Amino acid sequence: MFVALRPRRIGSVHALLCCIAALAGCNGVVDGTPGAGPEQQPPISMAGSSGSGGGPGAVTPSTAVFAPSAPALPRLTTAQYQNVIRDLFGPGILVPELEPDQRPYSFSIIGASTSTVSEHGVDLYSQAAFGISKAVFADLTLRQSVVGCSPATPLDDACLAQFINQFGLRAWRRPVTPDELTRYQTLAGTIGRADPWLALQYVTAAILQSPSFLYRVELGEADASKPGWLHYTGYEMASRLSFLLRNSFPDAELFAAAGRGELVAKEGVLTQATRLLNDAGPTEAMMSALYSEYLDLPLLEDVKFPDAMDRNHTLADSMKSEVLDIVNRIALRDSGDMRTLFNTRNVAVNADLASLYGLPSTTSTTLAPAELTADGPRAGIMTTGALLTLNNRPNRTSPTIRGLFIRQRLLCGTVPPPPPGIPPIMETDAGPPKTIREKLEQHRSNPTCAACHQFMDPLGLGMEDFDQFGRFRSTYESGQVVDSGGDVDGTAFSGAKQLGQLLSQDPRVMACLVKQFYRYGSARLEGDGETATLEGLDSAFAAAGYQLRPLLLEMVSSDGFRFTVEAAK
Amino acid sequence: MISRRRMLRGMLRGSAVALGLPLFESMLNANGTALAAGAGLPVRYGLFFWGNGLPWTYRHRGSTDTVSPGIEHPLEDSLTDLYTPTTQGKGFAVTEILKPLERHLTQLNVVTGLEPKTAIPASPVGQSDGHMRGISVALTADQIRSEGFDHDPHIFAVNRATLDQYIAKHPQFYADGAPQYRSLELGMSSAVLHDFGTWNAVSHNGPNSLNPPLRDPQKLFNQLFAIKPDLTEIAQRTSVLDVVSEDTRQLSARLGKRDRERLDEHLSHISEIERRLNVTRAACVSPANPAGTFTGETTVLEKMDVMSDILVAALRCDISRVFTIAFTTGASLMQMNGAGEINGAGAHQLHDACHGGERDVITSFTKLNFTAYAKLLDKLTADKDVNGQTLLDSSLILGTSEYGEGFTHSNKEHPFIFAGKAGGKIDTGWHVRDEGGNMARAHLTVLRALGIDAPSYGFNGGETTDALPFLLP
Repeated sequence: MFVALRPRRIGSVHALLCCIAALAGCNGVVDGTPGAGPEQQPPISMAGSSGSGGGPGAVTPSTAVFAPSAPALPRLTTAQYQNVIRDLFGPGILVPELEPDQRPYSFSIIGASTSTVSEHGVDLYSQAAFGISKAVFADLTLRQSVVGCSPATPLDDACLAQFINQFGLRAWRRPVTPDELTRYQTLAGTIGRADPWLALQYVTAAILQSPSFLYRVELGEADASKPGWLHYTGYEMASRLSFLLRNSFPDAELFAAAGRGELVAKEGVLTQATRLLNDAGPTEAMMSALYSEYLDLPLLEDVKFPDAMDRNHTLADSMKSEVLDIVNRIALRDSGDMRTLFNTRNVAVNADLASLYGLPSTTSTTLAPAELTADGPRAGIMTTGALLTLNNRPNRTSPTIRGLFIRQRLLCGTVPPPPPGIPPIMETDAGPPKTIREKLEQHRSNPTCAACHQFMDPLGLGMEDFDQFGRFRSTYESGQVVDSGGDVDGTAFSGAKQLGQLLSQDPRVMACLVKQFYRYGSARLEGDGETATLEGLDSAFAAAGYQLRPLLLEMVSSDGFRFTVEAAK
Repeated sequence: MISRRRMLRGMLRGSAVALGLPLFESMLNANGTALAAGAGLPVRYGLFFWGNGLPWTYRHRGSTDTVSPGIEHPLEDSLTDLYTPTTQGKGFAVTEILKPLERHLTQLNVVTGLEPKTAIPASPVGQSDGHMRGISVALTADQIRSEGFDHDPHIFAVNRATLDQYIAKHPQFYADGAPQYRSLELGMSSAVLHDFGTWNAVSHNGPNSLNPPLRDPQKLFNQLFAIKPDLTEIAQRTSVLDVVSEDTRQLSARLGKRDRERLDEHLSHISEIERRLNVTRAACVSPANPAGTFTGETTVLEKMDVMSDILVAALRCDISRVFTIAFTTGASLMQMNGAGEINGAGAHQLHDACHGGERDVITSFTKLNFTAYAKLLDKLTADKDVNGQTLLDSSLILGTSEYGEGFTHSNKEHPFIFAGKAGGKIDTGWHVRDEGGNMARAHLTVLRALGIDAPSYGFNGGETTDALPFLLP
């Protein structure tokens, strides 16, 4: 089914709707204080992002003081669970279906921290654990390598304890306590030591259902040098680094570094993070997963493209892959300036995309580098098939939803949903056909609509030079000429390429990127005390020429990533 | 005389397997009115939920919308109300949109006019949103959870358990012990507005605690009717779950309040799973195995057919007495043609059609929801037991949506369609109209009909002590 409506603001606008804000309407919602009416300039906190108070172009020095936030307690996301099973047991063990992730604030990792698993979800974890352990122990070679010792018959204490401690350390990302060891040894006895492998199988099933496996328990410990604060332990930092940078549990070297006590201090963290970031495969996989969620790329799968564009039903996949390829190239392979995401002419195309972009045709189905022409209408990710196709209606573009996406995802702004009770304004058939711009006129001319719509429509209207399938157009089907004039909070532009150019220069965009990465890495929203952290990261990012690796290194070694406080009881 | 239950277990060498046997006379007492153990006959509760409400009308011509003051609704005679029956009381005439339910009209109570009375906090902004407020109040009789509205994109979350969970966990409902499943959560269309998740469930335990629906008939069948593990395996699994429970208890004690609540709920789920492992189910009729019939959504009506068969078998087997069906989700984006074919020729997308002013399309979509509802009721009335009672007679189903009028995002005129007699505790065949009435009256009516003491229901401005008139004795 076609689900190109990306934003959460249901029905945020329709061509014929006029939003009549009975309440305060659109004003400073980020900081919660109601602003004045629509006659005023857009309040900075509405249009902007992060704690840096200034509008576009302004950088206000801040006196924010850092205070750590309480820990998050994320479950493993479904992707992480799968990766963990793969890394524990090898690629041959199938993971049964689990309860799907929720993705509040865009990221499944945040859903994993904020949601409570349902009863059915726990049942699925349980069945998965029993099924996986059965499959592992049905494979004689695999079970031997997993257990690591040869159990006697009846099961001997030495092999049992060794297995619990070694496997438990990897599965739980921290050493097994003596109390837990006893508990699991007793379990083996209850199952029956007469069949040692069976006992070990059920011990495995238990380890895989323990909350220490399913949840990332990163609670910190007291820090002598910082009264009131906790620092994450070495093992907890290993887990935090590993799940952020490769979506799985620590490898042997990370565990070793944790064991040597190296991961509490900044230097040790940087050493390991640098190592992980230099490992291209997993890092690109991490970036692809992050950006896939951040940009809602899977929604492309529900788009019904015209047959002529998509005979083999591969276009959605091509579009997704292309955007991720651009991101990975700039962020990782070229160690480039992340701002160039928005104005680069270096893309990657296959047959599908070459046709869409008017580049020399190719028969290849795999992506190959290509350069968009300097005088063409495209440059930057805002002009890719993916970002042009998302956020529209099935049969026309939606400047409002496109604009909402930019406002929320790229500028980290907030727009509340429309109030209820909006009367329908039925379009009469009489008169010449109207362009979407004309149909949305009320959003601009009616002050109560404009209160919110001024933050959305002007951004999306400037993308009208591309239709809802990413095709460039200078006229509509009706023959009317496309007017792709828009503005970014007062700065005028025309067309998606110029929009990209403006976004590449708008400091809010990079500040928003920083914030999103921070949330992703922290598995939660930033706390009030972390404004200072974000500002520090903004500065470091700029100083590093907006390269991603330095940003991530700065982030994982920041106080915000390494310290916490006790949660309210 | 050996109980049938024990005899059957013996026959099957210790394995608990479902056989094909209906409710037996031997299970009733001498009067045939209660199970032999002295318990009352089971009453069931179900929710049938459809998304996007009803087609808009100009009911409110000339009136002032209290949520958005100053809106004048234009006069437009052609947009008549095709849903609300024109007469009140018993024996009301069926309307255009209710036609698919016509054959069950005497089993229904159509309740119109209700609206939420919950407060709408001014800050953070946005809590008047029709979708979110509508779903919250319809399902929980409470306002939306305010937390998170100051971040973007904020999460939709409820403040408290939805009615189905309130009932399933109420000590008066499963007074003599819960069956295998306290509740079952089913869904048909998976065309949801967002991946954010909270939209996908109509059953919640509380804030950020959803019970996502099962949408795959095969999975539902496997979950409910697949062969259970043998007694040895059950014992082994129970031992594992005991250890895991202890781990969970110990971890929970170290956590802050918020995460402790999450872990405690996780722990209670483990207990439930352990309990269920050790519950022996009475012998009952197993439904047909869907056996790979559904490889994707073909038509939601076909799926409804198969899922309902499994659900009804589960009810008959007393596997559970509470269920919810999210036929389509809130703000549904289901794409369907008039024949109910997903993505079929001429398909319209529901949410888009709503906002696109395609009133005829919405009318036919709404009728499709009721065709599905009617299908469920067909199955619940298909068989009579020894007392001549159908499953529906001992059930109370609540049909509702997130809106009165989808297009306008209006929470006024919120539709409720009750079905079933709740074992004789609720009269049927009424059109009850309470214009501007408190929506929580519907919830209160449900609770009292199920025999649950409920002096009042509704929260945060939505409180009421009055059930709906006429329906309860």
